Amino acid sequence: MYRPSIIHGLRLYSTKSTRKRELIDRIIRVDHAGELGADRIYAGQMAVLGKSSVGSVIQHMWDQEKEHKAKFEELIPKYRVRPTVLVPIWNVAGYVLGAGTALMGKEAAMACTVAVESVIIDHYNSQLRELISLGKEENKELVEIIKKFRDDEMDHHDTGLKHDAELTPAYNALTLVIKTGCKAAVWLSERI
Amino acid sequence: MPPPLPQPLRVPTTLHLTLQLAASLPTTQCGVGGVSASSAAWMNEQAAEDRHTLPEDDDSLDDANKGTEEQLKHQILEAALPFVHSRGWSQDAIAQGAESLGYSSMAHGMFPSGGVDLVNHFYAQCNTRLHESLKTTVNEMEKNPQLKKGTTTFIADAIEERLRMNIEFIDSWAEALALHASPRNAAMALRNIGTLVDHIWYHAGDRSYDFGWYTKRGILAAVYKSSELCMLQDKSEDFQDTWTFLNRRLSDVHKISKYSHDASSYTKDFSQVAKAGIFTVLNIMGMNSKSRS
Repeated sequence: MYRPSIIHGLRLYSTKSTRKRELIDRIIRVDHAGELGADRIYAGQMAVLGKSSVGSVIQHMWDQEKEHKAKFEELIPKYRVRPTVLVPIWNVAGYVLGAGTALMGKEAAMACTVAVESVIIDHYNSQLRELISLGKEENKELVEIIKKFRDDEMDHHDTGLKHDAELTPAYNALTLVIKTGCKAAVWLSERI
Repeated sequence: MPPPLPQPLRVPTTLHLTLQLAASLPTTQCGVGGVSASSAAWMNEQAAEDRHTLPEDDDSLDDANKGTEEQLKHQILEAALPFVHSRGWSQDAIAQGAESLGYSSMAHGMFPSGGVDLVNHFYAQCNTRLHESLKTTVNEMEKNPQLKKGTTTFIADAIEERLRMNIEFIDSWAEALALHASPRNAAMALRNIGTLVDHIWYHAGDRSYDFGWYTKRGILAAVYKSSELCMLQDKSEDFQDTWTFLNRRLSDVHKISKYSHDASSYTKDFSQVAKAGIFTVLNIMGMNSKSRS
């Protein structure tokens, strides 16, 4: 149980234990939202590009994202975390983003992957820094999980680049738009 | 032997200022005993502090101080609860509680929000007690499968148990709810009831991670709140009317969820029927490209 009973439900000050609780709450909520979004993005991309030459590549990345999502779905009740209210919205938005970029072509789909993964990687890295500064041993489970997922996302990022992401027309503009959208989504999911 | 003069403070936290101020003010009821008790407490704080390095170097000093301050506040609020019957949920009750522990009644200044801090403290205590009790119940149900209850029964029993904790202060509970209703305190009130319904659902077995998390808790919060209000004006024997009301609300919820489940299966069937109709029309008009040979 992660709630100290003295200040249970009554946070007069932010002591170290409440700060840690809030941090873990935020981290798991936003990571779950991120993996849910990634799962839907790949679903959208597969719907359009499933039968093309990059179908198997996207399928492989999608399977890994499904594992990530399942892990966070397990962590939510375990750490008594509140999931984000925007789950239904990310469901739809992710699918639309995936299908939309896939309709623009294989390279655009890969560019979308690269953009999203680069935001996620930075995000996981800053979470790892925060968790480790709070105590590497106490948060060992979460640190291990996020480390492994970050490594997987780095693989996805590199795979995207390898499959001609940068050959997309208007690559810079597309990447900028998608990155900004992702950062906004992360900011919102951390809070609500 | 008069107590030694206070040394100048290095880190004047709110706690130290309050107690030092309290020690220097003439106390009406406790007299000399109250003054020496509060300066004794202050001396303990100072001794604990001396063991640390400079405040700027040590981040845990903040937490250690705050920990002691938290515990002190907790003690004072706990001691103030018996005075609620006579003084209501007010700063007066807190002041009485502080005095009963030997501190100056000026300690109520540590609670700028006044009476609502006492209400929140009591609410949080009850939530913690419920959490422990539900945990025990779940463990017993696991050991003895024949004790297993259905989800609705579990929830009904949990709400009843939690409402029974309010019986102790039922005469002044309307005042407590009025304090909670004020906009400044509404956020904390929502957090309190949020924690409560989260505990009940978690121990009832809910492990959801999607939007259902919110709908379940929202519905339970509405049921709990309405039952709590019903209890305020319930004059029946052992609050039987309230438990009947509660069971009626829970069966309403059950009915609604059943109907919505049925409704969603109706819409699924309806969409299939509509699809079949559209394809029939397209076939007749010869525009169904999938079936063109």
